[in-house]
Formats: sequence, C-alpha cells, structure tokens
Amino acid sequence: MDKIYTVRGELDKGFCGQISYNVSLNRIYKNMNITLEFDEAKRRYRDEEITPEIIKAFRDECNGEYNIDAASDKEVAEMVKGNCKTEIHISAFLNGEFIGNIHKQLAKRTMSFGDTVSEGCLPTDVITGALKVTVQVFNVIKDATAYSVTVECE
Amino acid sequence: MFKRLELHNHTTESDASITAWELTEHMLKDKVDAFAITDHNTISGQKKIADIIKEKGLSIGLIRGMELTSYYGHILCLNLTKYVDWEDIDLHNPEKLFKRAKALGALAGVAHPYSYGAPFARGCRFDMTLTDYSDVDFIEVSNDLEPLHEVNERGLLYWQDLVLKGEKLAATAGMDLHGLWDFSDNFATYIESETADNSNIEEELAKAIKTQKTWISKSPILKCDASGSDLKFEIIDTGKLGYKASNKPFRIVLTTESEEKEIVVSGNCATLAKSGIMGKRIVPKLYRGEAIMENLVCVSPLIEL
Repeated sequence: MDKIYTVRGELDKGFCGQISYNVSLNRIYKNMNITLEFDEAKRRYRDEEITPEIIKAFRDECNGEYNIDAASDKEVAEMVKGNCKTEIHISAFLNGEFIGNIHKQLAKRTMSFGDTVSEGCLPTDVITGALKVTVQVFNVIKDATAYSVTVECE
Repeated sequence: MFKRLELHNHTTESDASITAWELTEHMLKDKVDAFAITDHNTISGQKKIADIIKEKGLSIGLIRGMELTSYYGHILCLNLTKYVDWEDIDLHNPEKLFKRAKALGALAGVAHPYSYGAPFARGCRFDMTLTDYSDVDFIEVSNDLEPLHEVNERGLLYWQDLVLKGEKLAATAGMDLHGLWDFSDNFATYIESETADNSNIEEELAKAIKTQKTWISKSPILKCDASGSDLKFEIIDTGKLGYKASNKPFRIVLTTESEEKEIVVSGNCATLAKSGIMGKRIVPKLYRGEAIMENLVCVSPLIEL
C-alpha cells in the first residue's frame, strides 16, 4: 500500500474534542487502511502515578456524586486505576458521506475499506475524492499523549 | 398481544464482544419479538443482521439504529439508517442533534441519563442541558447495566417528572448489551400489537413511541383502560423468560401531579373511580409487594384524564 499521509500530534491532559484531517485522494484506489494509534503507556494510570493530587482531582470532578464522599482515599485510588483512561476513537467520511468508525477500547486500530471491510465500516463503491478523518478525543489523562493517524491506499 | 423489544444492543461493530450473528442468535434464544442494533457511532451492523434475518427466514424483527456517542451524553437513535453527524456538538444546544436525527427519520431519545459520567466514563452521563423536548421522543428510563437507585431510579423520576408536566415522552428500557448477558429479571420495552408478524416492526415502534404507548416491564404488563368513568386495570403476564415472580400481591401506584395513590390488587384486575384521583395526568406503576424500586415490575404509559 502507498502511504498517503501520516500525521502526528500530542494531546494535553483534559483535552476533549475532535481533530479532523482532510485530504484529496487524487487517484481511484481499490483498498484503503486508516490507522489510529496513541500511546498505550499513557492510556491508564500506573499505581505509582496515582498521587494525592490525582485523587483530589478525581474527587473534585465527581462533585459529590457517585457516593464519592463516602469513599476512602484508597478506594478512590482504585477507582482512578480502574476507571480513568485515555479514550480516543476515529471516524472517516468520503465525499461527505460517513464510511466508518471504530469505537473500541484499543490504543491501536485500523479501519479497512475495499476488498476487506473491517467492523464498524461500510462498503464503498469507489475510493477516491475528499477524505476526512476525524479523531474523536473523549478523554486524555496524561500530558503529552502522542497519537498518529496514517492513511494508506492501493 | 404485547411484543417484547430489546432496544439497546451492541456488537463487535463497536465495542461489544458479540458479532451481529451472535446477537441475533442470543435474541432468538430468549424469544424476543424484535431487537435494535445500536452500535456506538456506526450503522455498519445493520445490513449484516438484516441479511441474516432474510437469509435464514427468521421471524424476529430488526430495528435499525445507532447510539450517538458523544463526550456529553448518548442519544439512542432508532429507525435510523444513516449516520448522524455530531461534529458540531454543543453542550448548551443538544436540541440540534435530536432535530438532526429526526430529520433522518429516526426516533431519538436520551440514553441512560444518569449513568456514571466523568471522571468514570466521559459521555455516559447526559450532561447536556435540554430545555426543549419537542424533538425528544423517549427517555431510556431503565438501562439494565446500571445501578438501580443511583442511575435507573433517577432516570425513571426524570421521565415521570417531565411527563407529569405535559411533555410527550415515551419510556423505554434496554439491556445495553455488550455480550451474551442474561436477560432474566431485567426490564424490556413492550408495545401493543395486533399482529404476530414483525416485518413492519419499525413502523409499529414509531407509532408506539410517538403516541407514548410503551411499557417497560420485567414480564407483567399493567394495562389501563381510562375510557369510562372508572380506571380499569388488568395485569397480563407476557411470559418473559427468567422472570422471578414472587408470591406477594401486586400493588399499583398511581402518581399524579399532586398525589400518589396505592392499590393492592387481589387477582389480576382492579378498578378505581376517576373521581377519587386528584390530578389530570397519571403515571401507573406496578410493584410486586412493597412499592420500592427493587419490587418494580412494570411502568405503564401515562394516562391523561
């Protein structure tokens, strides 16, 4: 497959929003792969990373909900470990039409179109024209979380 | 007859562990009349299930849908065949997303409004502020995955409060299925139907939702007839598999804008004079034993006197 582009970026802790990349596919392609990857090591908190500041921030964000006031710091630390995660998904649009989304709890995933259509994606008659890839950032728990998007076609 | 619908289900097309076929098979085993496919932000599984049903000649009905999954809340879209774009999401204007889904022909409702959100799972709680419900068709008052009191009781009270104020909102329940989970003793959504044929189930669902004639039930249905001078109640068992019926008597609770009235039922029928009720809108609920959330078995459509 020919690489159309790779883009790389870094996300700050707390970022929530969408980042889109637009490109014109100037040839007619038979197959296309779109891969999103982000830093697996920054996806969850490790035990040693759960500081009193992180526990306090978690409590503050709960804002009195979820019985948080009754939980000990040790219990909150377990909640942080078990629940807090960086969550990033990806969707794709071709010539303004939705062609796929991968919403899975994975740090690396690939959308495939053409001879093989991967789960979450729709068959496309022809792969050409305006491709928009949108990175959907639901949550980022650590600063400088690196991600990349790669589009390959043949 | 009443049809049991499972309206909130995922597959490996998004983050569940079961394929389109496994989901279909799971529904068939539990004798569901119709089910929805509502994967997160994709519609890719719809055709796969439709093809399975067609190729195998199955009588189970399919409701095509998607769970619009955003950072600020989830919107369950049913009778939807196209992706609903939400790139321009605005925390302070969720109405435009409901309008957009409806413009595509969908029924749109708030999914699990009080689910655990951030910092546990950003987006799972409905954090957007709805001020205009005219494009909202339903509230998912019971999401069987969620805690009974912290999430589902609040969801039920949210819906009840809105309909008692005059909002036209149906109530639904869903398993939010992400695997081969047990349906036993969980709520499902029921609609009344005149046919056993499920080939037009999306039309039947649309009619039921738009007239707010949906029941959420663990199996017994509380049917209410308000056409005469009395309110007549009948309890009908739908035979939902795995329902753990207790021996305690049924208790009907009628909540109006101004009071709550309880009726202990001996047998399967009850009658109450309309004149004995203060209020114009009534939410009927059916319990088995004491009227506590743990004993709730059915929530019926709003009665307007």
